[in-house]
Amino acid sequence: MLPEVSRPRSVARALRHRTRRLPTGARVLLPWTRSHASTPEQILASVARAELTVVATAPYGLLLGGGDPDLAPLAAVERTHAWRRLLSWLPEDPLLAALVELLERTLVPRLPLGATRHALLVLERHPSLPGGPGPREQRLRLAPAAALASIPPEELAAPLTSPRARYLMFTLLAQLESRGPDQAAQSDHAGAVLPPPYAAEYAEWRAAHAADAGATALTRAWARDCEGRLRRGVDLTLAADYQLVGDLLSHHYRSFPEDT
Amino acid sequence: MAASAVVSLLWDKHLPALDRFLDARRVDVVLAPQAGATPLLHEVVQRHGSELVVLDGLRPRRRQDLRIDEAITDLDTHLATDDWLPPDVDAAGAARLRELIGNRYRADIPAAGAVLQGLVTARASYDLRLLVGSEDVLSASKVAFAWARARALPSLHLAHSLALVDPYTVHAHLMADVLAVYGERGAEGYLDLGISPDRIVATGNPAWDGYAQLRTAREKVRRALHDKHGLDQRLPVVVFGTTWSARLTAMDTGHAHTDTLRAFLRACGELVGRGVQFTAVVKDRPSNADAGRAVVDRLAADGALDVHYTVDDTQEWAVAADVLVAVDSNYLVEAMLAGTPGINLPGVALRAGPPAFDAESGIVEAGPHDLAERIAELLDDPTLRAGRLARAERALDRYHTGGVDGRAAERVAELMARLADRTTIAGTAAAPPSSGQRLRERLHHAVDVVVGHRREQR
Repeated sequence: MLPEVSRPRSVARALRHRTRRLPTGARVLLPWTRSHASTPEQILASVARAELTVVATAPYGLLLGGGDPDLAPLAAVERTHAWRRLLSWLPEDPLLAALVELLERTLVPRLPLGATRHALLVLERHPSLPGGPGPREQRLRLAPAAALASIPPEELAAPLTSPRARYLMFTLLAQLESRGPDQAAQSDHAGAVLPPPYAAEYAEWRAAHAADAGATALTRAWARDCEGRLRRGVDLTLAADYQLVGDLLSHHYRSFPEDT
Repeated sequence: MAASAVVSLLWDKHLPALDRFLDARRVDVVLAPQAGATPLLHEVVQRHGSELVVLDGLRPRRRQDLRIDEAITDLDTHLATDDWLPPDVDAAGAARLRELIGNRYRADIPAAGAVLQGLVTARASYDLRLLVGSEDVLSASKVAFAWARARALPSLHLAHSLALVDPYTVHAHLMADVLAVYGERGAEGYLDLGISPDRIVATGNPAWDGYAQLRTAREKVRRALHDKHGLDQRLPVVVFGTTWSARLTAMDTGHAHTDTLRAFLRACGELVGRGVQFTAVVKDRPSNADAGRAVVDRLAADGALDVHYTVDDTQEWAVAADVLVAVDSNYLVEAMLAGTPGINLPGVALRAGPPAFDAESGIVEAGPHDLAERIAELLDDPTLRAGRLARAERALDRYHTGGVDGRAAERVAELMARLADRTTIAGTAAAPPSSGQRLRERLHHAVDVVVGHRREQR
């Protein structure tokens, strides 16, 4: 295992220096931490210049923050108070902790380099085959469906009995779906990773979010083009918003079970 | 010189703050909508020698007349067109939307319009200083707060609860200039929405100032409730605070009152089965009295369980309880104030969401499957119990600023005074009309206990 190299300009030189005596085919492990000075592109370029090939990348630390905003699945939520509240339960909720451990073991290492702040790189001394554009491109592309498929559904069932774990998992899936290159294809995949009862709950949860967004947007939009709604700069239809959202959810989106 | 006036859309429970404000500031007139002109408001206003004027009773002069009827006619014409329809709606869906929307604004605009008309009329006769209310999303108050912003009249929304569930749909915005929350925890959902920390102030809840005294009189409170309900004094008391489905978010599972009660009563049954002796109390909302009692009777009918149902003495029960169970509820913050261990029951009333409490709050989380166990251990294990209570005590200030210092009404009154005074300064200086920026600057100076800033200082 190599010590982490932090100064970017010296990375290629340091790597070459430390690995030059290794025979072709020898492998080394390089710890890497993302920073402004060491992006995934930069480290992969340095590795290639040092005449090494990337055999594998293993990102870790999904919940530690600091990933590339375009690649990190949780970038949109990890700075919110709501997310910090969720994570505060990690020491108290063994099922939540078990889910995180499962994700770190299965999904996270298959995320692209840069999706988390930290990663381990397996490098091979192979001067004739420098890390080419093919594998590098692959390592920078988000492929959530393939990564998700690596989670054994039977191992998810127990952790997901915790409502906190369900919230974490559903949020992660929804974020991955919204970031996938082909959203329609991703949605099927995302829910499919869950054991059946939770797959259904996830689908309902997504539908509930969509209904909330739809009802809220329609409530604000329907009268926008009617100038007559304004009096002294005030939109009179504001008066109807509160009950209208409830009416739309109940009777248009049919979001609630029928009364028995 | 025009008589000075403040507009109050406060609920009765928040009137102690208005009371303190009127102690500190001479105001000639308090304006309130008919719906908010309660006997208690009359009493508070009269005590300070001010006059209560009902907004929707004011008669506009001809040029002030807003002609609300014509607005409704214009909206009817607009609704009949297809211009506003979402693209994915079929003919039946369009007809349904027209009916839902049309019925709603025709029902809600007249009353809210009358309050708006009252505000416009009042502005011509009074020197308005401040608009303050207990919510800014319901029909008339939403319109009133929008008007205050449009007229640069400082406005304060004193939250009627700590937003433990992140603000959704109708709640996911802030109409008022400034939001007073009970503790920093109450700001989190609004900050996550992107609302500026400069607009949020943590004051505590005037309605909870009574806990300062109540919790020092725990034994007396317990005895009084035991006597009132004929309870066995030797048994511990487990109180369940009910919830209900407002159906204003699709995250609501729809039957929260019954579903959560069933979970609680089932847990009680389990405890009885294990030989745990205790008194179960269901504390329901007054508005739910008859229906709630019927549900409890039905659910508890087949068990050997004796459940006491009540809609009264909310704060007293929080103090008298040995364990308090509730659902993502402010009643659990009251348990923290009361020094009573609390258990939250998430995942039944709402679909999966962010936890209402952080783990450091001392509030325990339980699901229907382990609720009985969590109750039993808090009753039986003094060390666990003391640990939870100590945590809650440490976290209390984040959930309720000032803890149990009993001074929330005072802090809200001070905030009201600072906001109202800025109006006076701007008015007498014959300043140019306030731009949004100027208003924000004024408010910024008016507010010194700003949630976000406090956080940064840590």
